[in-house]
Amino acid sequence: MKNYYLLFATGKDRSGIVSAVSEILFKKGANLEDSSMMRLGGEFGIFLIFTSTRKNFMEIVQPDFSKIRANFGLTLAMKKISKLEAEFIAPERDLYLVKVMGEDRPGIVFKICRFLFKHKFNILDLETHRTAWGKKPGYILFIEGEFQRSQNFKSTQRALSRFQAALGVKINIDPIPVGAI
Amino acid sequence: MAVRPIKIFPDGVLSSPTQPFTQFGPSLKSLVEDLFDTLYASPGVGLAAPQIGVLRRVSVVDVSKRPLKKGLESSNQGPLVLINPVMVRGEGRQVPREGCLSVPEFLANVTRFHWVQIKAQDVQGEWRVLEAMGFEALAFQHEIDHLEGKLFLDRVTNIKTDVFRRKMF
Repeated sequence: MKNYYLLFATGKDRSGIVSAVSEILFKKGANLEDSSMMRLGGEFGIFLIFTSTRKNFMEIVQPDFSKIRANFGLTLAMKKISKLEAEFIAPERDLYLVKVMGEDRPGIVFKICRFLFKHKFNILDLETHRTAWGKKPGYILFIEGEFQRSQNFKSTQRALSRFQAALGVKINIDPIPVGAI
Repeated sequence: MAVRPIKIFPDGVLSSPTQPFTQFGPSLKSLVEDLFDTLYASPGVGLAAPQIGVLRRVSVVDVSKRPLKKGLESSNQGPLVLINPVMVRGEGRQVPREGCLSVPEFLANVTRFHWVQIKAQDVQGEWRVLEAMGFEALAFQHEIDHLEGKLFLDRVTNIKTDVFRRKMF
């Protein structure tokens, strides 16, 4: 029987981390299903889902993971998940992009996320960048998500200009065009 | 003639609307000279008036000042002054990684026309039709965006896949 696992690892970025983690999984007969890896600041992060048919896989793999924890200074954890949790669930509704650009100030992410939550917007992806080269630090925030009901988009747009003025940053919320052919 | 400081994101002047330029005289000559002086002191190939804090529809482009990056092609008309430029037509598609003197920390994949025809006034106020392809066409579109208060980041739809930190200019 195929079991699903989620592995999370983070540590100071250096070459060889991905190779070491994937080598262990390969040698123990696991299959990578889905993964997301990135560098954030000086840290490298791994978020991956894999499967294995071996019983007690978590115990089998622990000695190897202990070695790479020590070798790479990684924080590494894994847990068993269900097949349903492992599967990509396609968004059911139209996707929207919330784009925020302006001077950095405390609480931007919180205030925007609270505004979106109140307008029944589900966040599916969020990414930020801070800029430091201008006279003042800048902030770029992109959020992808969906409204629970299509009419929520219109009410959000109506509330947006006042919210934008209060926050002092430029915010655009637009449908993501899809041109499926 | 002066090299002026370049406005950097998130300076509000970069997203402000610009006014058409109507006073064709000494003030225009001085602005154009400042734009070229500032451009030639920078690593860029185009500069729009808002980038030096002037909210007027004036920009300069000179793709001849830098060797073309591998994989890019371009027309090359040397130094050009674009006053009150407007897009007339665009054809084809290119998605190079685009940078900007006002957003020095990032590059982004931005979809642009590969060939464009624009209309712009010259320093005497005469309307001219200009055509460009490749990198020069990209520069025209990028500069016209600046005059609309738009940065290349405004054209990006996915920060994760289309925006990249650059090490240095």
